[in-house]
Amino acid sequence: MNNYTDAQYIEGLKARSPQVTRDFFYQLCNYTLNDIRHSMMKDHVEYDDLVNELFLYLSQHDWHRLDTFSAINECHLSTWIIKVSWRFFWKQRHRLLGYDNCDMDTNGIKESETDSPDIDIIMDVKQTLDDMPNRRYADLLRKMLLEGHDAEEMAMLYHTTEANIYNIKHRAILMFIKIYVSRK
Amino acid sequence: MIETIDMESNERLLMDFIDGTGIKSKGAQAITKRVKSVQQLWLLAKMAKDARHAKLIKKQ
Repeated sequence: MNNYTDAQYIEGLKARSPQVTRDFFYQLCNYTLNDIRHSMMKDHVEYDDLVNELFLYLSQHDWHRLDTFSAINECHLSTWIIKVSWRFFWKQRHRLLGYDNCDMDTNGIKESETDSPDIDIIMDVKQTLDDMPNRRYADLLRKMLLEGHDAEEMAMLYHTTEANIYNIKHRAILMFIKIYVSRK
Repeated sequence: MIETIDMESNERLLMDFIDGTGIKSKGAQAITKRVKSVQQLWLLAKMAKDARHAKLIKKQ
């Protein structure tokens, strides 16, 4: 693997260097695109298709999107592209998975909800919630994110203030991420 | 959906959060406050997981 600097990657991409472009999409982005392919796209989309989509997105207007990275100091391209890729493919996933033409009922919920890719996401989150050692944290996330209770309702339920609920929620999310990162 | 925690103005903040460097900051609390769905939580965890992996690779 070539150890290009972030600046060399950007320069090479903009100069349409085949070597830099290949390394960027097939080495630097490899782990994230494979993760997106597997966990978001359920392996229904080929790796090369993801590369193609991301290439088209990033290369628009002479790679203008890369300039938004250039403006931010002290962060690495490898971290930036993770955020950009997940965000981009999250927006594109229904089209890429062929859900664009699904009929919607009056509530905006797909008729074939069981086919929705979100079912797997919910299961994944529930599994991590089950693995959390602090049951209070898991319970709070379950109530707020799965059952839709807001902070005011949670404050009444937990006999505390809304500000404290947000503090607990923050610690709960940090614990959730720690568990999620370590168990996969 | 993800835009609520991923506004361009907060790009640096989110990156610090997902790569773990700013996880204890006040900005991090602002991010977690905006997490309102299971999907947002999942995306945040996914991005954090990939960022940790990228960090490990960089160290090697």
